[in-house]
Amino acid sequence: MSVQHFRRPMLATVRGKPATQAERDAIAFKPIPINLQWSDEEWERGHLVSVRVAAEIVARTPARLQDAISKLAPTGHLHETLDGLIGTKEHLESMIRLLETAIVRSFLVLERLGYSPDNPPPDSRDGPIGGAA
Amino acid sequence: MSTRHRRRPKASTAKSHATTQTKPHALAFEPITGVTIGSNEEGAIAHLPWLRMAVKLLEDNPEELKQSWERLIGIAEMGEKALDVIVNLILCRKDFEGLGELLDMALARSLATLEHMGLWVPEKSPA
Repeated sequence: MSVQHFRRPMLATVRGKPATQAERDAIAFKPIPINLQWSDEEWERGHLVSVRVAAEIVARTPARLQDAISKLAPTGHLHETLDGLIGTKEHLESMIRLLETAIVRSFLVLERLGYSPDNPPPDSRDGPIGGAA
Repeated sequence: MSTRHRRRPKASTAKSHATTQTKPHALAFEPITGVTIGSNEEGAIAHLPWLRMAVKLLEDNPEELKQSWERLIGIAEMGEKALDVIVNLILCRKDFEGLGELLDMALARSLATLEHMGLWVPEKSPA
């Protein structure tokens, strides 16, 4: 990771404002047990299909999209297709929140370990890890 | 599809299809080509390990998370070093945001087209 990423982390906020050092030090958080139940294959089947469908939809002109919907509607799969798009969108929103929380917590902890934008943790491009803290 | 999904698409996504009071049925959007989605395997490899890593990090309390990061920083043999983990978490999040926008746009265009075809009537939003 470049230093740039460390310099501009998502900020921990308190009441909508960037937290001060003291406020960041005081931030506590509880473990969040999450059970990711799907295998790679289940995730692919469940969500990548909808992403591909979305890419197909946006690649069409209005007339071609209308044509595709005309053909799909009588098959009874239209609602299923739209539900798939909505389900995947909601799933992605949840995963974004999950990732964001993990990133913010990690930055908080890295700061507590003595790392900062001026003293970032070792990067793979930095060669062997040496006492950066 | 549940009724809560049948509302008019969000105003922000309506940019992709012109719906106005004067021309309620005008549909105008440009095809967006060149969206490349990797294979299923590529998609899973690119994202799932980082999702699982994020889940693992969220299971820690502050002290445990500190220890987890100390371990990550201390494992010199790892192909991915400490900051690479955060980079990949951030990249994964950005990828998902991009995919979310793609899905939003596809839904907005689909619903606009369905409305245009008379196959879907958006509910009036509550005042």
